[in-house]
Amino acid sequence: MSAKSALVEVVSVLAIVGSIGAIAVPKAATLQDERTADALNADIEVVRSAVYAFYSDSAYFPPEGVQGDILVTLEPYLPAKFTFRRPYGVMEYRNWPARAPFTRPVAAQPGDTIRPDSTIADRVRDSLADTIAGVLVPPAATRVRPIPGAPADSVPTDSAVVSRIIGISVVPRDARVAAIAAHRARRMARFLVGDKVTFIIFGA
Amino acid sequence: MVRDVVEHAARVTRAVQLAKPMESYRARPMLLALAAVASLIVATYAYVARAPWVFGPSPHHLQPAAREGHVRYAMFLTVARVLTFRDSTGNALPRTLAQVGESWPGMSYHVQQDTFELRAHIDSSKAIVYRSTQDPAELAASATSFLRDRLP
Repeated sequence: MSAKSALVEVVSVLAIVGSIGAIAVPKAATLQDERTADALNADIEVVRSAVYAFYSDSAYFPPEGVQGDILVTLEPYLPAKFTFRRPYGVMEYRNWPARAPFTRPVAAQPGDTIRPDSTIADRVRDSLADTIAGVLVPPAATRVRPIPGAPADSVPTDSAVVSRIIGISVVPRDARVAAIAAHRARRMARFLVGDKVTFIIFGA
Repeated sequence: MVRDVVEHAARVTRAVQLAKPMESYRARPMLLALAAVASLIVATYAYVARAPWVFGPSPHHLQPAAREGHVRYAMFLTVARVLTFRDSTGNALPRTLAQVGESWPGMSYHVQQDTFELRAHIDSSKAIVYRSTQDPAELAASATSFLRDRLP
């Protein structure tokens, strides 16, 4: 074996080992981030269960609190010593108003023609949403003034807060964790704005 | 006994005489070089393209349409919050988004007398602008389809 061939082999082996290392190091970091993202998603499930348990007992969703501070109303439903300040970042419970023009379901009235493709589950859900809307929002508080400056025919004069959109926002210390958490929770409604990932647990 | 020893010595001596010196395959350096080049190409591609299978998904890897959908939905929620604030305060608008508990990266809010404008940057070259004279339903219309991946 000539010295030239030996040199080629040594350099090749070094290049292969270097390439594998160059991929393995960031991959190891990604695996660590994936574990963190899985922990984040597990915490989302914990809070979601607590919110639903609260709703089951109270028939309304808890109001928002201060970012990072656990809600007093939710505390009995969460595991002991659970806080919204997590090792990976800060969680925030969100409770947005959902306004009628965008979300109000239309419940079937006697005599209405039911769409052939609407299922019983659809109709039950619509009726339930109407009922919830009626319970949550007193009619007197739901009237909305026309939007100043907008054309009269474009202003939804009967717009109202009829329901809520409930979510959990998380601002992780590492933006990659947010992206990975959103990527791995594909079945949940979620959106990513910058380094802030928000999971919608009701109303999307 | 002596015979066995002699026969064994003869077998070993013959085997040693017949043995060829170890020789590398001629193609081995070339194969190793090819493998090295291929691995360098893969590693370089992974770094340049920030391959998700190495670096994981990144916010910057969202499809532009999905990124816009996500921003639009955040704006939709923010507008709902601002309008509800306005309703509850007799047409007064919040001075800042923080006043209604909203804070989104890249989103700015400007009040002009009794109207407001919400602006969010999707990237350095594109921004979405919502003015309070517009129907906020437009923000959510195209956004909700990006919230949840379609199941296979």
